[in-house]
Amino acid sequence: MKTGALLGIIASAGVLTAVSYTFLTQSTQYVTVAQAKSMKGDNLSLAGVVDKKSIDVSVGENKVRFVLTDDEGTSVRVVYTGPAPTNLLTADRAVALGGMKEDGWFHARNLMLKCPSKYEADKPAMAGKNSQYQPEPMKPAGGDSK
Amino acid sequence: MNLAGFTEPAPWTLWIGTIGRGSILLAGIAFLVAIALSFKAPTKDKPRRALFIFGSSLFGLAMGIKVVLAVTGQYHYQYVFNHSSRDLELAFKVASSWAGQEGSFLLWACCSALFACLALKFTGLYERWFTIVSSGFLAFLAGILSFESPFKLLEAINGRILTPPDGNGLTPALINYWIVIHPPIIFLGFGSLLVMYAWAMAAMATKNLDDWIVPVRPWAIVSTTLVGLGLCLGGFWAYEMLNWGGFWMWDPVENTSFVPWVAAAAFLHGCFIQAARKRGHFMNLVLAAIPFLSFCYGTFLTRSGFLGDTSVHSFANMDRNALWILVATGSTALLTFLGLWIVRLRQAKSILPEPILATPDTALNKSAGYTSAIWMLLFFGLVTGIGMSVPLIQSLTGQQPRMVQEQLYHFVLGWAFPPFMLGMALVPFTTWRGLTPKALLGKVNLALAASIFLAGLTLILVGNDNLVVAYDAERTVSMPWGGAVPATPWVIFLGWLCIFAVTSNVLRMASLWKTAKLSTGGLLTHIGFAAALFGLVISRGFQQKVQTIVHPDYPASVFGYQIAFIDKPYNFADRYNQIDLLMTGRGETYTARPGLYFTTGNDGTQQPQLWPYIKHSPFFDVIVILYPGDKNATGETTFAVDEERAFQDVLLTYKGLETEGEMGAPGATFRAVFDYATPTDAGTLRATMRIGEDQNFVFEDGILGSSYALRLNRIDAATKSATVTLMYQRDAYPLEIFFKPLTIFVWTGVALMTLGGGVSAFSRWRSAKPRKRDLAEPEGTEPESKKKEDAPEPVAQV
Repeated sequence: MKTGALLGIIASAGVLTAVSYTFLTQSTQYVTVAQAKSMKGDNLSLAGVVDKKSIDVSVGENKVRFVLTDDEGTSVRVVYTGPAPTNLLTADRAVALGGMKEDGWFHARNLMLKCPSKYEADKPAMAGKNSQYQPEPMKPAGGDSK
Repeated sequence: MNLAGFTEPAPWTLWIGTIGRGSILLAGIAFLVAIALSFKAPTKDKPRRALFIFGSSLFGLAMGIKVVLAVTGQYHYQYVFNHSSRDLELAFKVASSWAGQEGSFLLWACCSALFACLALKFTGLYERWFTIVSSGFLAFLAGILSFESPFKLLEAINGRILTPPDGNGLTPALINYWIVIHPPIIFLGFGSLLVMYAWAMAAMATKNLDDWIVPVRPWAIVSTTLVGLGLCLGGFWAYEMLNWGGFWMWDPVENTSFVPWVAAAAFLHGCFIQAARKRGHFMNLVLAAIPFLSFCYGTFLTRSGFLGDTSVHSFANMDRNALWILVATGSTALLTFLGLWIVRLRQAKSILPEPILATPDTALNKSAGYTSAIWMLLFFGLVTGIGMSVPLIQSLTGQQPRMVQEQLYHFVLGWAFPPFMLGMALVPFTTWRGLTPKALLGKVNLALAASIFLAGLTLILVGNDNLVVAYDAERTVSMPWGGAVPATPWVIFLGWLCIFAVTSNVLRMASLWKTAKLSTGGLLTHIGFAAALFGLVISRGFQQKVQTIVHPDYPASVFGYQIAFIDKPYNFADRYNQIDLLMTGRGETYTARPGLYFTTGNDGTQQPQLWPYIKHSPFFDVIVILYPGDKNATGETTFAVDEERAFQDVLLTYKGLETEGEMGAPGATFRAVFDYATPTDAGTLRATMRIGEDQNFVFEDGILGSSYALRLNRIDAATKSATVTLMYQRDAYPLEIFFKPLTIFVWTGVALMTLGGGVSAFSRWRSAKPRKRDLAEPEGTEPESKKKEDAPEPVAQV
């Protein structure tokens, strides 16, 4: 085999290995509620079913709050900063990207919502990217936000 | 079951469906017979050709019947019931034919058959094996369609087939003109991938790895152009109809189109090397097969369920038998290709022509340039293919699923972007013999200077608040190695790379215009591609986004615009309902009209549907997205007695709780007393909660001025605390405003890219017309040794 071809194969294998390693280790990990509570960071993907009755939209605060139940049946309260995704009421499942905070809520910076099974290019809202909105909840006068 | 409105279907609607089902079955049989005939009577072209065209026509017939059923509202067919409805316009009824899984498979079959039939005439020596391979694949598709049939009837009711009064219709998000345009074009592209694969297989089967490359090249260009155009149209669809202000998000379904596209582009660059230098035969066989094989793989991935939660696209569960046939299709295609390729590789010395042995004078030569482009395109495809396969890999290894975020794709792919764009700028000026660095620089220095000037102009433009919304100089961009760099210079650098590719190809095009007009198609494609990338880089890199609220009483202020809600009656049940927002500022006044309406779900809930309003201008796009209105100004907030809290310009102080009546009994009343203060008003209000006769709570909100009300949600009898929600008296509407500079280049670039592809394909098709020598050869003869008329094309052409 020619040297050039051999070097090409080795280089290709190297690139393939590096890319695969990067994707498999750096991609966002799906977690359960229990795992999310034990992990730090805000790059966790929490998947589960939305409790439709728990959805609380606050336009003034630019927040949406709801309860998400993972596949193990454990629930957590999720707060998402941004307008309520339009298919939140119809979504079968949601994937919240974010992390747990000290207040016990899962703070999501992105929401991906999956509609009921049907083959179509149905892209639900992926709101919240690079948001510059500064929400203003009711604050104690002269103090920090709640 | 309530059968009101159900009717007996007309007999013709039933037997036409039977014809549709039968057409697919018969098509499969025709293809199998064509294959058998190819082996039984290899020299009999006409019967084989006729069978192939007949089978292909039957797919077209099935699609035609499918459309008729949808347009005439034959809802007793499952597919029509699931995807069409009475209230759809004609165009959407037609488009419903490909909105669903079965319809899209039929569309794939039709487009593949169409392209195979069109290319058949030009395959010459390769026709027999081209037909065999194409027939095999199309027979597999017929098998899939037998299980994933668009002609299944609804279940009988009391032993009778009945037609429901209406269908479920299209998902609201699909009811726009893009559903009519995008799928047919991109599926034409997907269908065209078969041509390259089948031709490559035929080349290997006939042991003639040389004579196919010139005639296949225009088809490779058409394929690349169509898949690229389809891809871009999908991006435009997302931009215009969805609410995330972007074109692309590396979703696996998008990637399924992207990988074949870059692989096809790699192949057509390989064609140039082989045509000119008689080299790269085995590489090109692989490059011709990758687009088709990768699309088969992507189709499996997106429809098999492995993607799970990692894609925003949802998929029906594919029939298991059909899924296995799909797996068999892809596996057979891959294994037969690999097997034959290895066999021919071992015979390389005896079947390959002599290469052009003229060694380039320098490393900066066209062959090296094209080869580098091929490797980088393959890198893009490989990275994307691995990224979209991560859920499958995780699943097969029993690990927890993972999701590859957009940023990770950018981190990995970004490494190849600068050399790729530099190559696009420099290689058009190289020659087959090569140039010295100094000579090459001499050829591109004008383009380089122009690009630097234009990059500077771009920087001035995006910083000029009179022309655009000036960029945020404080923003940073994360880098793959963990650090962050200021966004502005980084984005300008990426933009400069694109501009350099544009100016360089423009100059090269100008130099070739007088002598070889039609040969400049490829250069035009480069210009378009680089311009589109420039638009994407700048519009995303300098994008600004703000979320705010617009209220009938309070205008919003964003990006120098005052945004006033125009208060008038709106019909939120109307699919075309738009909300009028008066935008005043930046020297102009116009009415933005974002769409918002509601549909009623099966469970009775009101489901909002929206689409953005986009104001296009030469320097920027403004995207306005309006979300459903709501009265909640805050979430629930709990006050202790004498506690003060503020929301915007409202200060609330909780003074305590007043109670009346017996606790827990009907008529018991709780009043939360608040002092309030605003810049213009102050006073006391009471928010009341009363237990009604039916034990349900009745709320009387405390009115605060002309804009707000206070709702008492619950109280704590022990601590006397009150949980309240501050509400707007009228709905407030969340708004998202995107500001995206220079998006016009995306549209223009795609148009130029497509035009360039068309010109290039035409040019190559004209030069690839079969010579008399090919037409005169009898069937089944061994390939002739190379003659002088097979000399490579003039090297002056790109």
